Amino acid sequence: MSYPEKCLRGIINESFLEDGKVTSPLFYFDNKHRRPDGWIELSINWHDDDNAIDSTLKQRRESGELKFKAGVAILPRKGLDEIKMWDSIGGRLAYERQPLSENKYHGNILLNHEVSPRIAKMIAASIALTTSQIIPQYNE
Amino acid sequence: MNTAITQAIGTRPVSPCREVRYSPANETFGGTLNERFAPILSAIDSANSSRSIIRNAIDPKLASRAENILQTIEQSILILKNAKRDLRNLPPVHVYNPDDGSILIELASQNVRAGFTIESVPEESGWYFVTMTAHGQIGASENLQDTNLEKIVIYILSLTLAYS
Repeated sequence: MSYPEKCLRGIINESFLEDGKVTSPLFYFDNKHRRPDGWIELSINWHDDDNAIDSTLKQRRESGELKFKAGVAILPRKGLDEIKMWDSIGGRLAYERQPLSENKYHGNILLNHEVSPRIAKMIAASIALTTSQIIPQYNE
Repeated sequence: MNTAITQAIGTRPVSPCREVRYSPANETFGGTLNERFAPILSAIDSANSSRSIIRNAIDPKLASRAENILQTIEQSILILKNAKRDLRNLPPVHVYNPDDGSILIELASQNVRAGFTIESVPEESGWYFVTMTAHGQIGASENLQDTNLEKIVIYILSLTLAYS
């Protein structure tokens, strides 16, 4: 499976931005999204083409409101690959494609549920640190 | 005259729009604020404004432990200041109350993030220190249980300064 150089993490609201940077909690893995195979999913979109960012910014909830009111964070995949190699991670961080009918770019960053909260939050901070750019939401 | 100037106390508005007192470090500056004082105000100011987030935390035990860490951070900043460390690059202190009910106290710059995570299960609380690839891509973390908090906080703040 091939992956592009970058992926996108939508920023739900302004509380996930501080001093021009994304906050670490933007990358917290929620146990509610744990799968039967033991992986916890963190939704992303893959930057497969020039339309990926626009498509992500235009995503809406069922209610019709914009999903990512504060924009999109761009993450280099290289950063994720480097974090995956840490001894303390031990192969328990991964990523995948998971295209949806309404979103062909969709994928996940995956964390094994056995990872302790402390390590999970260190990983979240590391991912936040790799953010190369924040694309703001369009003015409606 | 010089004695009067040295002892002069001035005020200067700082963000977020409240005045704090300062003592000029050297009267030859003519009362201009010595910039070495500014970062301390910035870091401790942000720690102070973060207290409202701690007070609003649902779990009072969590809030109490977070307050203890915040106070230790403030004291450590003053220790570093008294040791004449250059604190201009020390990032502000921010507190978050994420959806999982924990509390995060974090200092974040472009190159480094240092955080203290306070969990409802004390054994799961910890600290972390991470840097960018260009700065060695450090990823360090440990439990806060049975840790000398004062020592680890000042160590992490020193590291944060070194890499910021």
